[in-house]
Amino acid sequence: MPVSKFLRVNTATREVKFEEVPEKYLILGGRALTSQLVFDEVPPTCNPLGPFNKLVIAPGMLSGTNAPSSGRMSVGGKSPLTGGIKEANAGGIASQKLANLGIKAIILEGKPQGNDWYLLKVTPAGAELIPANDLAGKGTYEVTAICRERYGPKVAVITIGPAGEMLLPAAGVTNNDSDGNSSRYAGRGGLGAVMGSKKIKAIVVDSPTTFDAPLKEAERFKAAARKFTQILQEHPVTSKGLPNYGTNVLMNIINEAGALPTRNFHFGRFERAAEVSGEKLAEIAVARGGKATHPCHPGCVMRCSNIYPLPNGKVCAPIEYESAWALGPNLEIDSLDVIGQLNYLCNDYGLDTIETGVTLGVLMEAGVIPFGDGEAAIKALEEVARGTPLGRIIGSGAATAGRVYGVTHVPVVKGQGLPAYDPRGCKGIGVTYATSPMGADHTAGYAVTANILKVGGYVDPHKPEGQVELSRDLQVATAFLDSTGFCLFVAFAVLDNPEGMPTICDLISAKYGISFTVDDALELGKRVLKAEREFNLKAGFTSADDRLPEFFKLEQLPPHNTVFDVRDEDLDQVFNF
Amino acid sequence: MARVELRAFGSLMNIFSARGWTFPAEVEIFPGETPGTLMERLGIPPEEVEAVFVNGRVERKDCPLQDGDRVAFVPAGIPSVHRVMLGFYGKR
Ligand code: SF4
Repeated sequence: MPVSKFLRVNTATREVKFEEVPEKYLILGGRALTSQLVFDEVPPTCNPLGPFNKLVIAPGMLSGTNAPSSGRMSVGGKSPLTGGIKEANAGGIASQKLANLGIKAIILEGKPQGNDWYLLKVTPAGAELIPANDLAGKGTYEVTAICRERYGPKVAVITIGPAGEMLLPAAGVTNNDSDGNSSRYAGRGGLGAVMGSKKIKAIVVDSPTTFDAPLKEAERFKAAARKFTQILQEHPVTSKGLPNYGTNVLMNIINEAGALPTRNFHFGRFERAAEVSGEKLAEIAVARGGKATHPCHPGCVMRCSNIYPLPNGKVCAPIEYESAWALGPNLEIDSLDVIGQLNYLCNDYGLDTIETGVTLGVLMEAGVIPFGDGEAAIKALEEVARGTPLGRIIGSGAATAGRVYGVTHVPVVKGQGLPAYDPRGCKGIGVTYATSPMGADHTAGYAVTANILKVGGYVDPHKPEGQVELSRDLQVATAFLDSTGFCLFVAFAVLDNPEGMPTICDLISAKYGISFTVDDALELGKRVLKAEREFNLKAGFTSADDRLPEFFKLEQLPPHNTVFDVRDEDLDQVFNF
Repeated sequence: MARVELRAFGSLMNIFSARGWTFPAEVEIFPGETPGTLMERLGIPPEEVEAVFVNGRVERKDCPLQDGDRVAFVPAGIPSVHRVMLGFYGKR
């Protein structure tokens, strides 16, 4: 049975070593671990691309076990996009493999001299750095294919694309699904550039097992895992909604609610939303021999992913709601084929789809590309791989693009582009965008716990009242779930089933041989948020950074003609716990 | 004659296509009509409808409908934080 350890790589000296995990980190995983390590080891004022920043990759607390949908991975560091702390969460197969090798976290540190690229290979026999200049400049799909040919058809490949190599702040870190699609992104916040600054092009993880991470109390764990599977299979969201249409089923719904940011956040509805909806996607994908449902890692029972065959013979797997929105209605693009191509290019170049879409929206606002012109958007995006000035602007994110072209209508918080819900049409999410230590982040307030139901009731999405409390509770619960390795989508079932949270806690107790309660879970969520927030304060953030851009207060959003009117004093109460 | 503009999403959309309805469909309403009575009259199983939008807001199934309203039926199983944020729970 593997002993749990840190894999620390000094990229300056090329020393690779395994370390025993200090007591305080023993039960941590995912976001709790990356954020705590970054808090403990990275000076908050350091240059994100300099020698003192670190890239931390950690499987969740339960990853690598047979708990369903628990194979999510966290990537953390100081963000070159926001200047604050960052955790980005990804599916894919790397997390389970790392956990099965007993690796609690990979820590890339230091900054190498010179221009040579390396690949970190991790197997049951150990870890080594291998020269990888031959992979430099290549897209993520090709890198993944080459590595799977060289090191075995089942290895997981964590990699960056040309955008990460060029240290562009919208670059993400990706890894692949079981089919070898390098599309499972820890996308947000520019962590791909941090990996690029360490001159690590790829991390190859080879593990013979997927579900055999050590358990302190195996029988108890098995029973709890069975129960949790049942909870997921009984809930309509996790058993029907997600598997049938994936997350893009939200397109029509958010459009109906009048909160679908359209034409760079000028309107709340897109007249042709149905053309790019999940329903349409499922229809086309199936007709072309793709799949409307697909798991991003083995053992996911919710299977929200899809395989969308493109007209050019390639496949985009998956097209998720956030990406479809960013590259679709946000740009007034009404073709799933165009969205799929843009999404594929982002995946291949190593770019966050949300940041890229928001940036293209700002460029359209500036008149550099016409709104609705898919071909022009594809052409512009292709410039990223060539490293032209326009390409580098696109890869630098919406805030930079806005500055370069003198645009004021720039939807960012802490320098990060807003995702697919307009905060004027749904004010609670606006509170989360404004105050999350991550910058505008949809997943930050995604989860919901049973305690919401008790205190909750109905909060009018168009009114400011009650939004702060709602956002706070959601952020706490999310910080916890992001640490477990569970996909955030389990949250829906957990909310509706009073046994949901206790079962998750039971799994954690059995895995680590401790007694972990629901209170402990919420305490952990709070601790994570506090560490992240303190890092940001030390990095120089103030309450002025916890605000939405001015235009959300000034410009009414049709069709409901609302503005964002949660008061600044109230926003400052979110972290009052 | 009073009418509403009706939409349905996800699996409920299949009912539209199976019956050859346009999307959106123009549907006549009667005095006192609510989303609930409309469902019943159109033979849309109420247990498959988790939430109802009227003019872009989540409303209860017994809210009175007016001429020209934009109505949409949301099936059970829609993910996202909006289950809470938009009121799928609170307006049940
Ligand atoms: S629900 Fe979707 S994103 Fe979550 S683990 Fe399953 S396939 Fe991956």
